[in-house]
Amino acid sequence: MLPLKTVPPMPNSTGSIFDELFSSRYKSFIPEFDSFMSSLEKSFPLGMRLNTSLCKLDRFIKRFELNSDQYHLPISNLNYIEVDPEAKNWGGALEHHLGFYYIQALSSLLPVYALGLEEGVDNCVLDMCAAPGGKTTHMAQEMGQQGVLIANEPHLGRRRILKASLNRLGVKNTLVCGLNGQDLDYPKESFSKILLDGPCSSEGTLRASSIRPSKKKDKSYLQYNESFRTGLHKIQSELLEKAYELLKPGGTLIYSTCTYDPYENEAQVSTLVRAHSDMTIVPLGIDSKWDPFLCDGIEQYNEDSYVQNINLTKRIYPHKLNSIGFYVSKLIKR
Amino acid sequence: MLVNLLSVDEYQDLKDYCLHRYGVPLEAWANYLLVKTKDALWLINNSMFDFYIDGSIQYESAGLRCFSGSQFPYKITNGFYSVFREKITKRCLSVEQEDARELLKGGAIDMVERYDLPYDGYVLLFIGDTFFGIGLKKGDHLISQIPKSFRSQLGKNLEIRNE
Repeated sequence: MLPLKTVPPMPNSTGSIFDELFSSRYKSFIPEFDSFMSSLEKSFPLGMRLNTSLCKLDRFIKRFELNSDQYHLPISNLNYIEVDPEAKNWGGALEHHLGFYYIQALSSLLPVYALGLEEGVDNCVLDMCAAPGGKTTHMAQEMGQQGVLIANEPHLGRRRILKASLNRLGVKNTLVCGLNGQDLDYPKESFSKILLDGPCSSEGTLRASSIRPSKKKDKSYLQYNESFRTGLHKIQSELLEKAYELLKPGGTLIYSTCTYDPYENEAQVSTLVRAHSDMTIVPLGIDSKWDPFLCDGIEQYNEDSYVQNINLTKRIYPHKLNSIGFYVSKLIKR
Repeated sequence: MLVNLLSVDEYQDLKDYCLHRYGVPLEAWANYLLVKTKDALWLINNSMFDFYIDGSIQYESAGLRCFSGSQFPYKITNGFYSVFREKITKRCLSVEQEDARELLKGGAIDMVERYDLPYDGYVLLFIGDTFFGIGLKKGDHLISQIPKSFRSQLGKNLEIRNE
């Protein structure tokens, strides 16, 4: 398969500020660090998850009359396709608004697959931070639109986007809530599966992109000062505590972020596991075709050592998988 | 928030209407309930009802917006199509590309001697076999019911594909 044409890299999407900060923070554990830094300069492919109830892969390719050099299937049998961003107006196409597909990064499929949702089995599932709706609509699809999926999003503007996504993809098993995740007042142990794709510093998205303007990314990253970090850590740990409280015994919790920072990833998972002896880190349990793209969670960082089995949590780096950076952990409550 | 389910009688009337008007068989509704809000009817799975029947859960919306309007006969939505698409046998109108483009802009088209639809009311619009929205037949005209929010997001040079 030929590499897809990509949009030109945007100026200053990475630069000295990123080089310096990333180098000081992450060079010690990100493998092939120079390749990692180089990958940040390249735009990541425009990809989409197909809503298979409306459009399967063959139909999609035929409908858009795509030549073989205009699309790429990064992982087989995923109903995920990367396309030439210049081939069509993908975001403004009628098919997009009719719910044929959802534009999202390949990495962001991983948390949902790790949840292991089963149609007719998982009747009560929670997505704690649901907007803009890529993972929520994916979860609904994996559930066969059966059972109940609670999609929570505290921010009004983002909740509107979430609702539009649900409507566009014809999702009917979802109940939308607008509370802070920490304040979700459901009875304890209500949910068999919970996805906490929490607020984070979003370093993983700091790549040139055909759909995300650089100014937004720069602004986001510049907010990432010490007080911002401290605030994030507090929110993340509160959300994890709430997720623990709401999870049924035997239930599964996926905690994921799109950042590289161990304090937002392994450290948060370790804190939860140390506080609750009935929480166990388990393998993601996903298809082995993902294996070449995943790196193990790190066992120590600076002065901190993390809990046993933290290596079962997984990191995605853009030089390993041509997408955005991600961290995914899976925990079971005994 | 207390759940305002559509009453049994009103639900039955609506099911009968959808059978008569759109060909949706009565049994197609077996797994669903309809929740009424001030301007819409939302379709939910039966299993969702048990989860929030006690009113203790604060939710903002539930299920899929299936009909809009505040009273019978309600207006069908894209959600109605996405749930029942395989069951709908009536009031489906395949239009030509040029007409589809006009309807997608929010306009109206003249139906005289071009499309055969027996009576006024809502219509499911198709280009070939691709559903793209709802229209309203009124006399000799077919008026777009495609929401402005939807129209505004479509590309300026919209390509309309047919398979």
